[in-house]
Order: sequence, then C-alpha cells, then structure tokens
Amino acid sequence: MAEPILHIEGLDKKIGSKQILKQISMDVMEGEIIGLLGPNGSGKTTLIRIIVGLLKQNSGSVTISGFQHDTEFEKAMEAVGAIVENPEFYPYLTGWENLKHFANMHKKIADERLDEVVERVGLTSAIHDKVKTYSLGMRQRLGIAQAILHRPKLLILDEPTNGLDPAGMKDFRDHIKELAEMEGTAVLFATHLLREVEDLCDRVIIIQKGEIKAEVSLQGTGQTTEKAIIEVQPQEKALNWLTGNQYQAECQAGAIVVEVAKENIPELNRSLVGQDLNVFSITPYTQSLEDEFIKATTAHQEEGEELV
Amino acid sequence: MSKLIWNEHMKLFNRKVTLVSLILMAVFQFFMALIIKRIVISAGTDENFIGYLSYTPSLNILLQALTIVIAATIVSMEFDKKTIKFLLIRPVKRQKVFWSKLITVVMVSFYLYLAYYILALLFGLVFFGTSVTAESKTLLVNTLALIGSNWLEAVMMGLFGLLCSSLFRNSAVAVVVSFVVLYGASTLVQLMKLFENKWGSFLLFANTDFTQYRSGETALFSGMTPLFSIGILIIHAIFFIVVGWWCFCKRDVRV
Repeated sequence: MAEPILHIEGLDKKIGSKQILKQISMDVMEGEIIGLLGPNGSGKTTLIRIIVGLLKQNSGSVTISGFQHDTEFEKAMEAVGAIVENPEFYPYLTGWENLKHFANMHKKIADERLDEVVERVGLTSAIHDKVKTYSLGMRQRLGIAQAILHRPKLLILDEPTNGLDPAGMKDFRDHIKELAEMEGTAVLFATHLLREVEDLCDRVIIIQKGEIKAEVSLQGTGQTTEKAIIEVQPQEKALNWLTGNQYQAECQAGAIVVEVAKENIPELNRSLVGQDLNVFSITPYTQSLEDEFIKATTAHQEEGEELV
Repeated sequence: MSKLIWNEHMKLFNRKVTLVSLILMAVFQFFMALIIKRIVISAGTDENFIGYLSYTPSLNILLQALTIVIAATIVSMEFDKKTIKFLLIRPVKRQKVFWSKLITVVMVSFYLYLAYYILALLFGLVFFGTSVTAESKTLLVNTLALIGSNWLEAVMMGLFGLLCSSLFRNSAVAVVVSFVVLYGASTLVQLMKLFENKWGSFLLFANTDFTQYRSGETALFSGMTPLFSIGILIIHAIFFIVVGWWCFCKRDVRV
C-alpha cells in the first residue's frame, strides 16, 4: 500500500483538565478528499490545529509526507497548505503583498507561480488592491491562493465556507475538487455541514467528543443496496403483494420501503398499478450520510451536545 | 532569515504607525526649532546647528515611546488580526519567526533615531546655520554619546515591549503594560536615588545612561562602574529575550 500523506497515531490533547482529543488515529492518502465531520465543540478544530502545528499534542504523533512533526517540522510543513477557520490577512497590505509575504516563508516560489495561482482563483484584477477592500468571498479565494502557493501535497481546510453565500460555497467546492483532481492534492476538510461533505468528499470521518465515532466511505453509498420509498394505498394490500412477489419490503412512517434497483422501478410501478393499487409517489431511498451521522452520534445526544 | 526580516519590514512600513511616527517627528522638530530660535533671538545670542542638535535629545522620549509601541505590537498585532495562524503554519520554525521580529525591533529603533537626528540636522542647518565655534566639537561628541546611550535604553525598552507582546498577545494590553512598567521602573530609579538605597544600582534604568560615567559627573549610585552597567544590561536583555522567546515558541496558539 502506498504511504499515507498524513498519518496520525494515538493523538491525545488536554486543555486544562479537559480531555479534548482521545486516541485519534487516521490516515489520508494521496488525492483523497476526506471530510472531518462533527458537531461544534467536538474537537475538530483542535485536531486541525495540532496537524498544522499551532497546538502541541500531549501524546501521539503526526507524520506528514513521511516527516515527523515534532522532529522535522520544517520538512513536514513544506507539504501542507492550510486555511484555519476564516482566512486572515494583513488588511494594510495588498493581496499580492500578502501572498508574497507567505511565499517568502517557503523555499523559493517564483513570481510567475504567484501570478498563476492568482489567476487560478480569479483575483487577477483585484490583486494589487489592499486586502481591507476585499469582500469575504475574495478573502476566501486569497485564502485558497496562499494555501496552494507551494503546491502542497496535503490541503487542510477548517470550516472554510463559514460565512460564504451559497454561490460562494459552490465556487469554493469546485476549486477544491479541481485541485484534488488536477494536482493529486489530498484534502482534509473539517466542517459541521453535512451537505458540504456529501458533495465533496470520498470518505468521511465522524468525530464527536474528541473520539472518532465512525468512518464512512461515500463512494458507492446508495448503489449497493438500492431502495425506493413508495407511497401507495391501500398499504396493507400493497405490502402483502410485494412480499408475496419476493420483494424485500417493510412499512416505514406511512410509506413502504422496497429493495429494488433503479432500472426496475418502472416495471414495479406497472405491476402495482396493475394490482389496482393507487401509487402516489415513488422516490429513491439512499441511506444518507445524515443517517450515519445521526446513528454515530445519537448515543451522546442526551448529554446536550449540539447537533449540526 | 533575511527574507523573514524583510517580511517584518514590509509589514511595518505599510502600517499607519510608521507614517504617524515620521509626521510626529517632523512636526515636533519644527516647533522645537521655532521655539529655540525665538529664545535665541530674544536673548540676543547666536546659535549654530550643532547647538540645536544638542537640544534635540530632550525629545528622545518620543523615540522611545514609538519603539515601545512598535515592539509591543509586532507580535500581538498578529494575534489581533489572527494572521498568526497563517504565519506559524509555514515551514519555518517558530523561533526563527521570533528572532526575525526581535532583530526587526532593534533595527527599527535604529531607523527611528536615525530619521529623527537627520531631521534635527536639517532643521538645525536651515534655522541656525553653520557658524561653528571652538566648543562645537566637544558639544557634538557629547551629544552623540548621549544619543547613543539613549538608543541603548530604547533597545532595552523594545526588548521589554517584545516580551509583553508575546506574553499578552493583545496589542492594547501589551502597549499599556509596557508603558506603565517601563516608566514606573524609571521613576523607581529616581526614588531609590532619593532614599540613597544602594539596591537601586541593580535596576535597569539606573544603568542605561552611560553619560553618567563621563569625567566630571558622578554615577547615580556609589560603586557603579561602566562594566557593572554593561553586566546589568546584558542580564536584563537575556531575561527579556528568554521569556519572550518562551512565550512565543512554547505556547499553544488558539485565536
């Protein structure tokens, strides 16, 4: 197996007497987009901050691109680009000066690369304006620019779409997807928004109360067990007919959930109508990430954790 | 490292405080030159640019205050603006960032003194002319010694400001605490002197003024020597740097 870009093992973090992270272990492979999903206060941000070296863990190790964080910080960080929460810049410098400032802290980044990155995030016309005149969306884009300047192998994003409007969010997602595809950048993406994760990620790690509760692969969800929700009257009769015809069916909240491949739905519909049943609607049913999320986190709800 | 120092310069020179400093200096100089000119005229005496230069160190407090403000904000500003998050996730060790800031503070205090005394020279030449007398040379040497010694004091204040900056991570708090402690400390020296308490000689500000060792002058406290003062300064400097370094490099960043 290929070596992971990011390897975390047995990470513990205490702040004061509070245990924020408990024995976190995870791997991120090249080109993978991983969602780190958890309610507010679950320890996501703490984990991200340990990975980028802003916080120090109490025990455990972080290895980035084969370099241990504690001993070879500079080499490890050369492979990382990050936006930790909102992108923050020096408001009294221009966008270009801000980028140049961060570029100076890396090994040799040519001005041409800066131009290229600026063009990529679509800021060419405003790059020589002071950052204090930028809108949040523009700052966000400048944030991406500073994160990808040095062609990192691992991009770390912490709640990056906070405060963006829906168009801005979509724009942002497209950028990230493109990056992962074109440059093989692995992306670790922390958020509390399910929607974002569903749209973007290959794999989701659900974290709560400082522990990893579940790992869900999103590629292939819904294809292995295809189901449909059928709203049909009278229900009793329909259920009897379905089970009598070798369908896996059950009643769920006033409708019937049937295991059926998508291409067989018209056929099924015809049969149901043929049986003199009134079909009101048929909708595909996917075991959504939300269900997984709820399932993984409900055990702790009684403790008053804020969900999503 | 030079790139990091360059970065710090770029940030500093684009901040308002730098422009304000320059304007303040020019304005103060102008009024000082004007007032001294009036006094000279009404007293019916003559003065030259070196004479004017020897008056200008009386406003050194302005230069020290500016040094303190810059030092006290150079780290805390990054926390205020939260840019520290983006500064410390680069492939550069934190201590390098700290040293670049420290060196920048020392350099900037030097620029401030340089700019101020170049202005003083210019105003002196414009207002008072070049009719030098026999005493001018000694006066010039004495003035330069005073300026040098005072710059050293400003550097020590800058190091303390940097410590406060790393310690409090909030520019308002860092600036206020720096001012209160530093000016409190220099007042303390006067008090100790008043009560002739010999422990006063170990205080930082009893030792920053090296003009007290010139021939014909008595040191603030008995038994003080230049070497002793240098020792005290070095001890303070090391203490300020180590504490500042520790606060900057070893603490978690949670803004």
